[in-house]
Amino acid sequence: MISVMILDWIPLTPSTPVPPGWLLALARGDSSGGRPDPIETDDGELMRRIRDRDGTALAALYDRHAAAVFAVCLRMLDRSDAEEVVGDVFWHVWERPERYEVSRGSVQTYLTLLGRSRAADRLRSSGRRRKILDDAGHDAVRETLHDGARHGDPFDRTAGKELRRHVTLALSQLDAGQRQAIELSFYGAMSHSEIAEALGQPLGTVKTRIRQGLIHLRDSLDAFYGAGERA
Amino acid sequence: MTCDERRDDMLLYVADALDRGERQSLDAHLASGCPRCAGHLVEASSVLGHLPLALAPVEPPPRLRERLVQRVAADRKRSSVTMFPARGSWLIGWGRPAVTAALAAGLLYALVVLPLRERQRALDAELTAQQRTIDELRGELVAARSAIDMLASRDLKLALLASGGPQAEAWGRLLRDERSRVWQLYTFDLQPLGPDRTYELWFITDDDRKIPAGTFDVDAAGRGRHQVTVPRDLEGIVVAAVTDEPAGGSPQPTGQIQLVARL
Repeated sequence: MISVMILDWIPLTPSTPVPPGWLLALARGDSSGGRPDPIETDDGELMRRIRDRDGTALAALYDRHAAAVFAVCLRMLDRSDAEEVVGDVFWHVWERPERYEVSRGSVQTYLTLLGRSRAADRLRSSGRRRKILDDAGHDAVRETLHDGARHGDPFDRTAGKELRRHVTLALSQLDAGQRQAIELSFYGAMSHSEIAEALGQPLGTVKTRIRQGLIHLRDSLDAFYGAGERA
Repeated sequence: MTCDERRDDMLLYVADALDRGERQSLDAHLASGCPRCAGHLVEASSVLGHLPLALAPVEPPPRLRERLVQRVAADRKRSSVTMFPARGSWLIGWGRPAVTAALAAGLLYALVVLPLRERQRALDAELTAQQRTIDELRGELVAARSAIDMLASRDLKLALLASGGPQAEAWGRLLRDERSRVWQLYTFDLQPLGPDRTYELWFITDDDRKIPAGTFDVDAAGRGRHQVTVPRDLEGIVVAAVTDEPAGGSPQPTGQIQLVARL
């Protein structure tokens, strides 16, 4: 009976509408080498080719992710330093592609965190005042939300855009103090005590705000992907 | 402190926002090999990794890309550089001592440098191969832990997939954790496909929608494993099936049904 029912799959039926989060959840939930999401599949394939010393694969990876890495670096550093760090990140991928481990997350996560880490090293070694402290009036999260609402195509509900919007919304739901503390920690590479000093707030308040803000983001991502699976 | 409590601390750990004492305590716990906290660490890294998504991407200037491409090209050229210079007229002008020196240098290259470089290449290749093996083993470890966790679940359901096509010996098991919504598919005796084809899992709902649930490959022994997390808002799955599809998968089934189960 089942076979009879399924055999009518062919010829093809019109495309079934699929909830956007679903595709991504499938992709993220697949840690076994399956390839449900073309974006992820292509990233993995590019990394494999980079290991085989294929320079065109590195260029393709750059085209795909450089803008995300640059955005992170620009949030932390001035423009010329940010450009240098982006170059360093992709050169590192070329020199040490084996450092990327599939089990630790997506390629984009790896690249943006690598960019953030390199930028943080620069910040700490330079001893310069944190750029993010000078951007106090610049609310990147609200700006992204506003930008998305202004330019977003309501019909373009691809999995990646859906996730971006979900994360941005989740961060926008934090109170301003939580978001500021997280941003100073993440993009300012500042310790709790440095943040407390910069904001003139008690250390305990800062710690609580960062903790609660990140827990909110984690729970929100759990709801997006389904608990227990995320890349 | 319990591992559940450490889950929250792990967020601060990866944000580099713990006091030294707290960090050392977590370091020690992680070093003890606690699998749950290793999972929490991966989860926390992932949460932090999502923060940049809230930033609007900014295109770097084109010269940055050009510089990278040139650097890569130079690196590739350097690694395949010719060991001996082309013959030229300079030999005549410098006479015999120069020729002797050049020959000695050539001999040095041939006897010392070349074998060393060859050895280095072999070691590099070996290192790369070992790194791949480590990556594969790490992936298998993650999969094994995930399977053990699932088998320990009180909400586990099992379905047997039978052959639905020409591969009469093929079969599979679908483990469904109804609480976490993580489903794991194990297949056996499926023939490995060529590079242009792949196996794809499908869910069919009671209103006859065919939902693609990811692609997977099988090893030389015909064994495959695939895991998906089923969204909570997707209800009414009554059938799971596996077809063979073009590499990369299809949005709707086009290939032959290989395995099928009513759930």
